[in-house]
Amino acid sequence: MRLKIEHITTFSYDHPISEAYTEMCLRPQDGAGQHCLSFSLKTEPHDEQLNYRDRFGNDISHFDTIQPHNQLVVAARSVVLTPDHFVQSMAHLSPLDEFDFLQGSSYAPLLSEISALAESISTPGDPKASALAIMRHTWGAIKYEKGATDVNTTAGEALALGRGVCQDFAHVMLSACRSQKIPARYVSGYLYNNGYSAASHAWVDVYIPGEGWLSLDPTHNVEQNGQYVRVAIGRDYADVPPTRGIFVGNAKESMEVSVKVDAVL
Amino acid sequence: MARYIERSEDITRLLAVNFDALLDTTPEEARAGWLPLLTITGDDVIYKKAYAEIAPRSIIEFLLWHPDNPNAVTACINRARENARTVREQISSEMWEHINRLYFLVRDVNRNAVLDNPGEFFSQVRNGSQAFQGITAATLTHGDSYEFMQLGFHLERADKTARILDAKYLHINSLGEDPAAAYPQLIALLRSCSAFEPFRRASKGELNLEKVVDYLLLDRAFPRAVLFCLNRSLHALDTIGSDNSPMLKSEHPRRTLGRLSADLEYLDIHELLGANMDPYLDKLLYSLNAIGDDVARAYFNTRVILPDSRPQYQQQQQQQ
Repeated sequence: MRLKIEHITTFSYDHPISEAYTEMCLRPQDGAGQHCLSFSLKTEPHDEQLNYRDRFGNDISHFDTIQPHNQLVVAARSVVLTPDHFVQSMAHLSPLDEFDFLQGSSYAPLLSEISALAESISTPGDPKASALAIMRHTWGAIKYEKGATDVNTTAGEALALGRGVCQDFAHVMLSACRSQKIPARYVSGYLYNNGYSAASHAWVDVYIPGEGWLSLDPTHNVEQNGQYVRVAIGRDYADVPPTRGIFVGNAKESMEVSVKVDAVL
Repeated sequence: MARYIERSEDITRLLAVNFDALLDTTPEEARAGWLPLLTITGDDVIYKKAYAEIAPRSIIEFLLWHPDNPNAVTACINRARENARTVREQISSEMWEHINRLYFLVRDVNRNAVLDNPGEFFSQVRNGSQAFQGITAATLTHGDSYEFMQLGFHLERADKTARILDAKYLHINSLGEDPAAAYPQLIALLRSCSAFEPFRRASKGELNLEKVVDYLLLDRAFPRAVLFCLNRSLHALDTIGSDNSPMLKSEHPRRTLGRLSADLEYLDIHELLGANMDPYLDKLLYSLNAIGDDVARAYFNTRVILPDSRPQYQQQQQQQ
């Protein structure tokens, strides 16, 4: 599909703040069948951006806003051509990747409850079947609901609560897969939802030895298809937040996010 | 950069003078003598958290290199060097090499050996700072950068002289007219500002508190006197930049500095003696701080890093 994405994040402060350092992980990927046809990242106040690749291969933009300001706006716009099916064949994982994607992480720790649960539904020796079972189970165990969790909620908390948003589904599945020694990584991106999307989306890639990465969405219990736009991968949300930063000043901050994903001909 | 170098010099001078002056005292006298050093640098609260007792060795250690002390001599030299590094293309290579050497000297010194016998180290740091100022004067084009450095050196000097005066005045005042008690204190006070010999030449031999205060605050020719430093700072501000607008913005540092300097210029020292000294000096120090802030705001985009903490927050993050 050809999809047009607009993702605008606005930070407002009740007093002027200064020295804001912001990093953005917003650029859709090129690769594995996906093509980012155009991408623009505009910031207000306008400032020079420094771009670099992090070790997962994600494109990160960094910019500083030193002078006092009351508002910071980050607007990312892109047009992306997505494949019907996500394919990333890889006969072996590098030892570093294998290590990274099997460890517990801050949002997806290895917990005994999740471990036990994953073991009960997995098929030993068949990572693909196990991953699919985990995806289906996660989908069933959590009800999609905004406002029940927040951006700091971990996998254990979300599962206990039984409610959450995409990143919570992803974290639970990550924890479960890793407990079964299935390397799994967090995917951040967008989902085309017939013209309306209130937030960016998160799902999970699992590694099947001898084959490669398989992309599964536990929020919807489906495999990644043409409606998905991939932006970044990491161990969990903490590696790839759309924006992250710090600022200096005595002010209250309020944040507004608007995401639009449309199909283009 | 200039302020940090000057600060490291002034603190070491203070340490050196006190160290010599208190060699022959009883433990109680020593304690009373060392305590003002902490109030001078303003870090007594931090000191109390780090140490249980007030002992010369601890104070020297604290003021030279304790990790919790943001104004420790080593911390100041580190920051000066860092600042120098960021403006390396604009300072002379002699300046950079010198400050770099000073940094390594301070970093690699044997700390225990210094604490056992600190006199040599104090001299080295002081010489390092004074040499830096000399090298600066001799190798840096006397343009805006040079004037900014002079502004830094002299604001810091004014601040330290005022603080030293503030810390010692009450104690010396309480000693009364007895020369035997007051003289050593007055001499130590003067030496803390490298003012002993100049003072003697200027005052023709009479050594009393009133004349010393008058000299340290109001002398126009002695380079560490507060008024001299303020006037030199004013000169620096007038020289910097080409802004010829007659009306200055209300927060412009020239305003505050001008008023402060004029106040001192016409001050009658007798108004200040006794109980009025401490509040006056407090106000003076407060104004100097504000001027430092104003300079940063008027000429630089970022704020001066004073020892107070700057509140820093994380931006909110969005759920996916």
